[in-house]
Formats: sequence, C-alpha cells, structure tokens
Amino acid sequence: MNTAFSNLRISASGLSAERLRMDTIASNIANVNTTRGADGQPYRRKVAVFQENLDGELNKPLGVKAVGIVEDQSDLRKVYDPTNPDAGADGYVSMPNVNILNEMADMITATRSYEANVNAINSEKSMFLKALEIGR
Amino acid sequence: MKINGFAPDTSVFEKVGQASGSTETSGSNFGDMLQSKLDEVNNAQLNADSVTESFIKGEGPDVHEVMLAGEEAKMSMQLAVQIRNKFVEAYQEINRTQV
Repeated sequence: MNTAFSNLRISASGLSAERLRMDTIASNIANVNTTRGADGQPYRRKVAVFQENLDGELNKPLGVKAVGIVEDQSDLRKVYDPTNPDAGADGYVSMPNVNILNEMADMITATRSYEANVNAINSEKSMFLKALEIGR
Repeated sequence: MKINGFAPDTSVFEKVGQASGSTETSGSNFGDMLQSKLDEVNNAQLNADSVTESFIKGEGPDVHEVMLAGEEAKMSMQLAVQIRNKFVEAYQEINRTQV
C-alpha cells in the first residue's frame, strides 16, 4: 500500500506467516491425543503452506503469503487400548500422527524465524533513520 | 592551453531549463504538494491510532501490526520534521541576504 514503507510490509508478511505456523504447531500439540477430528476421523498433523508473493508486472518481492493449511497424510499411530471408546474390533486405537519432538523442533524454528524478521525490521528502520541524517 | 571548465557539460543547463518549464505546465504547485504530503503523515498517525484501538478492543490485528503502524507513523513524522528543518534553513539563508 504505502511504497515508502514497502520493505517493512515484506517483513510484516514474514511475521504473519510465522504466527500462522505457530498456530498450526500449537494446534498439533493441543490435539496430540485427539481421536476424533472435525470429520470424525483421528486428528491429522496440520502443516501451513506458504508461497512467495511477487508483484506481477515488475517481479518486485512483496513478501510471503499463506496458500493453505494441509493435513499430513503419513500413517496414524496404532495404540493398543481396548478400553478406549474409539478402539477398533482388534482393540487398537488410531492416534494422531503428531510427533511431539518434531513439533518442538518446528516451534524453535518458528520462534527464531520470527526473531529474524523482527531484526530485519529493525535494520530497515535504522537505514531509514540513517538516511534522515544526510546533510546534517 | 585547455583549462578544465567548472561545468564542462553545457547540456546540464538545457536540462535545468526543461525541468523548470515542465513544472510550470504540470498544474500542481508547491503548496498543494506540501499539503498532500502532510496529509499522508497525518493519515499515518490516524491509522496507528485506529489499529492500536482495535487491538485493545481485541478486534483482530496481530501485535506486530500495531507496532509497525506506530513505527511507520513515527518514521514519517521524523521525515516531515527533517524536511521542515531544511525549509526553515533555506528560508533563513535567503532572509540573511544583504540588500
């Protein structure tokens, strides 16, 4: 929108993207034992997918945009628990394919990427303020 | 003997003349431009206010949107102050001219 601060907008889109990634990670961790998702099936790990955002005519970078949240189609965990209401006839329950260790690692990545975007914003701001010192 | 001229490229002056001619025909004067830029600075301040208010009300914007709106308002204000300093400096320079 504002061309003077378009570099700040790029970093802002990165911040929004990392927040969305953090939301999906938080959802995965919260639903680590959920056997009934929205469709009645066990919860599947959710992954946010991002796409580069370019100005069509000039190929000018505008940052990143989220294009969707997809479900991880890898195999569900099978846990033997005949007392669980969602257990099958053989006594096994399908648990979500969420690995808490992977989620923790993703969470570290998201946090650090967020920090990197904040640092980029601060650098852009100090460059702007430096330009105001021209001729002083 | 060839002596280096102060401005050896005389085409510079032709360009200067063209530039001043084009500004006269464009129709918008300096006051209008200054007014519109000051309006933009003011709009940045108002935008920062409204984003902060809606964040406090819990309406939607992320926390970084609030901080960025504030920073943008602050930075455009600083730019406006620097431009104003330049104007005042130029005015005082003219005002000190010996008659």
